[in-house]
Amino acid sequence: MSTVPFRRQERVNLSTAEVLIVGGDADGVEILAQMFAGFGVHTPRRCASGAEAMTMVGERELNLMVVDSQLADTDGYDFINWLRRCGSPNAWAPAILVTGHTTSAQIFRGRDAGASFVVRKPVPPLVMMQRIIWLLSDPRPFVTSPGYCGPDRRIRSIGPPVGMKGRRHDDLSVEVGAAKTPNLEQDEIDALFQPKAALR
Amino acid sequence: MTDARVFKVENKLAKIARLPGGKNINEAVHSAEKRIESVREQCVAALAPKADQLVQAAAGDRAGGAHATLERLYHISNAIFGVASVYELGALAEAACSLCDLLQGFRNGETVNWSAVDVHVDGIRLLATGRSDGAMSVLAGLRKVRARFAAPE
Repeated sequence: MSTVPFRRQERVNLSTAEVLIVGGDADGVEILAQMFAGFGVHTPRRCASGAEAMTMVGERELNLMVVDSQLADTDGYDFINWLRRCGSPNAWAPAILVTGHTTSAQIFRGRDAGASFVVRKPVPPLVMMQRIIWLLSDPRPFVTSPGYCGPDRRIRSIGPPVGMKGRRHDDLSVEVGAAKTPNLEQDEIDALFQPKAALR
Repeated sequence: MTDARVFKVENKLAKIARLPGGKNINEAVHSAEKRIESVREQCVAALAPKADQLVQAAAGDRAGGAHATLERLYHISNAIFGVASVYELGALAEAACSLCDLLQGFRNGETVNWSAVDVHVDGIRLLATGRSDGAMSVLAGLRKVRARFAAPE
């Protein structure tokens, strides 16, 4: 039995969530469908091919897509790439890409196709649940540009490279450099935290 | 100026998941583990036919259509890895992953060594039958082959 690193009583209600599972191997899809049924999803939808999944995207509002890297007619990367540009409201739904044999190039390809996450097999239910919990509070905005559509790929904000100007007006480099003004006295620092107390 | 647009979208999944009811996370994870276990028999039983498909694919075109043969082998091997790794069939999962490593290099333009592929296909077929005797020696042989041919990432 797995130990869940969340508050044990935290509840997740996925009973009405529309979850689409896409994968070229029927057994792989079955395993994922059983996992989501165990999570409480009433009817996980299944598709074997990208073409079927595209039809489903056009017909039904989906809340989460779990896409295998190998589909019957295409691959998961191309499907997610299409999804993010398809113009349907589902284009912005979270999409988790599940990969089997995985090279770092495939991870970058999945990220650049617009996947919300790339998860390598085997995917224990605990790991999948962690990703779902993370998605529930995913702070990332979406980006559309000629070269990329999908969730903002910048997980950490570390600013522009040292010595370069950022492209945004509020970009700050992680390197702050040497102080240009005298250090604050402790009283002044305290005042920043408790201004009223310092005035007394 | 670029044509990039950055915007927030409504998190509908979060809205649904936070509705009253549902399962606590522990319960959901344990229920999922049980349900995956409930289909173990059928999924593991499907591994031997998948290994047979691998054998058939390996007998395919090795000349002009070699790329298609390699693609098919990679897909089947990857599917075997996906199921075997879930059900902790370590030797089979490792052998399938090893074949994927090997094929990845060949798909990327390295000279194809069909003997290395055949050794893997035979090993996977043996391991997929569920016989544990000799599994370690099969794996040891495959590791040597992979070390010799697989491209570094």
